[in-house]
Amino acid sequence: MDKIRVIDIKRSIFDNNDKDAEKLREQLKQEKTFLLNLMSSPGSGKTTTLMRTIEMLKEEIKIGVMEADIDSSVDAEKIATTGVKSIQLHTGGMCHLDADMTRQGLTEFGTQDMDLVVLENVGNLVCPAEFDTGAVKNAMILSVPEGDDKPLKYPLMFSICDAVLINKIDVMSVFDFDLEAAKERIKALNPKAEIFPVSARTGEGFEAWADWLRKNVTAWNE
Amino acid sequence: MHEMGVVLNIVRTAQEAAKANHVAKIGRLTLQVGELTGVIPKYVHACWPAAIEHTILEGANLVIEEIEGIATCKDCGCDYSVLENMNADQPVCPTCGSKQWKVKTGREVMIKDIGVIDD
Repeated sequence: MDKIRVIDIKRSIFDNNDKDAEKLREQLKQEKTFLLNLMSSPGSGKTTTLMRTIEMLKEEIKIGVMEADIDSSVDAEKIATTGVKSIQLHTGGMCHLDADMTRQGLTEFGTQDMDLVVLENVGNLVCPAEFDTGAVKNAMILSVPEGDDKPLKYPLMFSICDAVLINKIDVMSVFDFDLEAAKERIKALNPKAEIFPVSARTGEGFEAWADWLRKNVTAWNE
Repeated sequence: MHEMGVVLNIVRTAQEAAKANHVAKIGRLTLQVGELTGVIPKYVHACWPAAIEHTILEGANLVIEEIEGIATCKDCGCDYSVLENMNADQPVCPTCGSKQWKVKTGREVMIKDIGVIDD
């Protein structure tokens, strides 16, 4: 019988991706481009949120939108009406983007002269949390109809996000959504997360979110 | 499918490890999967044969060891099983009742070792 020799490896399978992500961040730093990885469930109001954010910032910041989805949830035509450039990436059925796919997308898109690129990640709260895309900051949208207990169900997603937008606060009473409980649950998982209660429909709360984004983009691109 | 992306990363990592150890053929691979990850062992097994085709791992057996999800209580410092102490979707410390915790183990997806057949 053949003799099997065992070699210890003890290496995380995310190591390669983590290294790719670090390399991409270095490249983005040199090119003075801020990459925001935006994640959410389908139906959270990502398109409306993104469009309002673009309208608020496009005069001062050069923005591009990179959509990655198995089935696109951000309407490319709608984004085009804001006048910013966008590109659609095909993940080939994969439920997340990794750093290498992100880098290829950015190259194809030609982002060197952009100040801010928003990467619209695949619409789910599990897989994108496990793969670092190389983004400078991670943000996610939790919408009121999804419930204030969502952070408990997707702990990893909430623990890796720098910013959490709680969208559709204009319908909070209808859905019996406890904003304080949601904030407390997010803070328990991630004390550093910045939380922005907003309504993409009415525009409520967008000043604080736009300020955060403006501040972070400026600091990175200095 | 989430596991396919994970398995492709396993293949890539194993190929590098084999090269570093001057190994031409891998007969077995032991993978450690934390129970707090989104990776389901059953589905890793399901996409294994397709992912390893025409690679250094072709025909290799996959052994999966699960790593228990352990939390450390931020208040009393004790360690406890996350899944065995869930209360209303939230882990609660069995010693002091605190809901403040951090993950100690259970988020890993690691290649523990590879088995090689020497000529």
